[in-house]
Amino acid sequence: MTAYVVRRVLSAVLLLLSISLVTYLVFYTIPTNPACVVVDCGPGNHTTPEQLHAAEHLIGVDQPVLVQYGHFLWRLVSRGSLGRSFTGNESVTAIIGQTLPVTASLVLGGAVLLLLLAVPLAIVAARRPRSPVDRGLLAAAIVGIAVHPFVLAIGLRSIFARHLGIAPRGGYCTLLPSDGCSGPASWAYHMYLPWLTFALFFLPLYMRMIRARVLETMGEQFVIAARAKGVPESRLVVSHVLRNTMGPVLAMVAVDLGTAITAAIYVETIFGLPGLGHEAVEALAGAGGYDLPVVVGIVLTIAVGVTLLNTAADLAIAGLDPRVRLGAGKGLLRLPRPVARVARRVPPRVAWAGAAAVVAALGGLLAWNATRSSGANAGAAPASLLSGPVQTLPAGWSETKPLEDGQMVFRVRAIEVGRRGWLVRGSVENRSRTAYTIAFGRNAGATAGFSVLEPATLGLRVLPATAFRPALPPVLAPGGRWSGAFAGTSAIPHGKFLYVGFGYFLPARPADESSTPLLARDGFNWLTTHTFRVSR
Amino acid sequence: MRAPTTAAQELPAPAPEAVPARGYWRDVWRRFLDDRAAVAALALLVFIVFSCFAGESIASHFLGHGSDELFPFATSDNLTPRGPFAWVPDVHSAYPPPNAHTPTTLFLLGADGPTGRDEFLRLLSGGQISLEIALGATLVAALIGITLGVLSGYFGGWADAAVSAATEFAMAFPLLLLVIAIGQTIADRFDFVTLHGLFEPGVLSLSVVIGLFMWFHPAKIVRSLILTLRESEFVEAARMTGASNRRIVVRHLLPHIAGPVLVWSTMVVASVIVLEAALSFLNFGVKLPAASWGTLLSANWGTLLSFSNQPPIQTTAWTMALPAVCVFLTVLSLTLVGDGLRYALDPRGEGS
Repeated sequence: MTAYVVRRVLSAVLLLLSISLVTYLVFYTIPTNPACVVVDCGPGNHTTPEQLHAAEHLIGVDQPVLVQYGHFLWRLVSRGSLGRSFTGNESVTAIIGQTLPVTASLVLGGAVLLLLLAVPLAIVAARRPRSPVDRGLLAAAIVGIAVHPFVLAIGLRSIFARHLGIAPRGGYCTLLPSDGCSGPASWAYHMYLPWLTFALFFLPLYMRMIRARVLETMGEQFVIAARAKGVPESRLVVSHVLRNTMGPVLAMVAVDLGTAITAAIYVETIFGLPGLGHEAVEALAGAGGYDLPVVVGIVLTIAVGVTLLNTAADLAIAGLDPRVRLGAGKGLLRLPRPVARVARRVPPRVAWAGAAAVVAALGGLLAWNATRSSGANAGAAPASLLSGPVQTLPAGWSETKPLEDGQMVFRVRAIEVGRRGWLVRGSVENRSRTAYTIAFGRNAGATAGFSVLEPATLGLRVLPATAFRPALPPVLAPGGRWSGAFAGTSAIPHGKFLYVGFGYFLPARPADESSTPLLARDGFNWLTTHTFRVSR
Repeated sequence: MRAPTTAAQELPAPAPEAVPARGYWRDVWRRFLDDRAAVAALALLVFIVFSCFAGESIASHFLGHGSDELFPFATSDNLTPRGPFAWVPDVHSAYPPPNAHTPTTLFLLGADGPTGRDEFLRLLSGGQISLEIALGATLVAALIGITLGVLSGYFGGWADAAVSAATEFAMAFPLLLLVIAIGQTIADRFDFVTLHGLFEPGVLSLSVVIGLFMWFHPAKIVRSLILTLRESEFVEAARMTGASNRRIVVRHLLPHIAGPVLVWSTMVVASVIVLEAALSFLNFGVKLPAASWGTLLSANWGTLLSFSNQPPIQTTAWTMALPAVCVFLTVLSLTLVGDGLRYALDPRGEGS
């Protein structure tokens, strides 16, 4: 047992090292310059090479990858710090400290619901294999994967929240009571739809798996013996069959929960939960590039989660099945013999206490770092790269969107946010054969190209654009191009998300054609949106 | 493929009037035919595959328009797509407006969205792409997985250790984050690898990426099977007659793992179709105007980066339900076929 504990800790350390190294290497082979997250380097930018170098130096990407990785490791070991986000300059440990509880409550609660649904259904199906009941349950379960989790989540939300009014439309409340929306009751109230979505996504797979295992066990000799002895059927299922079935199921749950970030991304996006998946999309979908420190932090968090869950699964399997012995392992992952020999003399209780102490110390170091650095965000802001009282958001991207008969090229060169307004510089070029009506920071009331997302309610509050220089043409003719700036006078609160986007109306029809006037919001299509967080 | 030999088949026939022994695969086929639901599912599956791969060109020949063509008047004035069985003015431009003499063309299942393409044809051509991706990804995953599984299971030692470590790594590494990053940056370059136009853009890259997601499942299955098989008598006998490792693996072991891998494949083809839809939401899918079931689904809901991108008025129950029904039928029939196959291959345990 002690050998098992030592092996677990060592392999976890190796796994974390290799995963973080691979993340660094992979993200540096993707040909974008991380400094473009800080300064504008899109086409038509005004960034000087000195500013670019300054930005690269500021976030430390002017050094070789391995040196950066070494710095990362040293920071982690010496100060318990995962570094700072490229974009917001926030501490990554603080970001993960805020987002991890959300994802953990989603994934763990969803797993409990999943098992509560899957085990009884699988037993019902396995009692009469290949009968109409079995097949009907299979078909019902497959609906869960045939309609994508995205669709499933939106459907559930629409039924429960909009039509029945028995669920919130989104948002998250903390489990522990604090000020604002919190406490177990509102936590569960806000989480039950996400849990249901999560469980339904995995349900078919688990139902099939548990059903197959139950069928297999039902044919075993000890089940036949127990039945011959006159053990009641319910007891037979629970204490003979299920006990022998749950080991592999738990192992599979552990692996799937670690990788459940896939499902979590969708569920969190739709239900407006500020969790790891949402943060990962934010970090990867930012302007121009991705936020490597945040990505590495999330990857490591997931890997730690996988390791912990695998350990828990190992222990549960060993508890359920006395034949399983947890030992020094096999092959490459085996403990070296001398270490194993020493480990054999240490009582398991001491080993567990030691491992728990190591984990607690590391967690404490990270938590300490998170609380210490969460308040001090603005300190190292790249002030030297900005001019005046205006905050320039990291912009500078261009997108070529395929349309049906050509392309639309959209560029944003700069976004400036001041205390009393905002301004976007950019251009749009119609390289298609159709005339389009362009919605580029359109007037209030309509869906606009520039809007603020309020994460608590998921409602899009539209910021009206009041000035266009030069004026937007009524219709952008084929080959036409508009280049300039548009601005609004809304103040954007600190910490809010900005969605900067661009849309088109299709097709531009003659006004006299339709009896009802074409409303501004009808026929509107987003071509692209980019997300920013204002941190002043 | 040569049938695995069992001891029973080797015995000489005890009496001249004895029924000749059936081959293993013929036996499997007979058991499969006993399961009526599985046979019906197989028929449905063959029908789906045939209509996806051949149906689009046949249907567009009779309907007179293609799956990528735009019909401005296939939508109502506020751009809601027309419903099923709609006769649509056969013009590609909003000018001049159609009148009573304008020829019309039939949209069997209505239009796909505000741009007015034929939903029926897009479901067919999208099905082809979805199935191509699913089969391609399964093939990639099975090739990698079988190779690594055989290596680690048969040779053991360092090969086993290395493969186990790689499996653990692949399981803990959130590849989806990598996919998002690729989708954000260099997906366009990958997507245009088409083997001289044999595939639509994006199909090959998606197959490879999804295959890299999945190889460790077959690797684990194959490894555990080989671990027990390599100790069996027939392998020992083959080794005694001087068979090389290669011959043992190819002639004696691979036929035994064909069944479980086949069952795994039917399950995984289904989940790749769903995953392809998922990646379409992540900006890493086939590109317009080509369609897949995933992009047809996501056309209604937008992508992760700009979700619910269309106002509700522009989507109809039809455009939401039809791709979902297609995915549902395919997944259901695949699962039923896999179920029947699993039983036919191993009638006693029904185990995987």
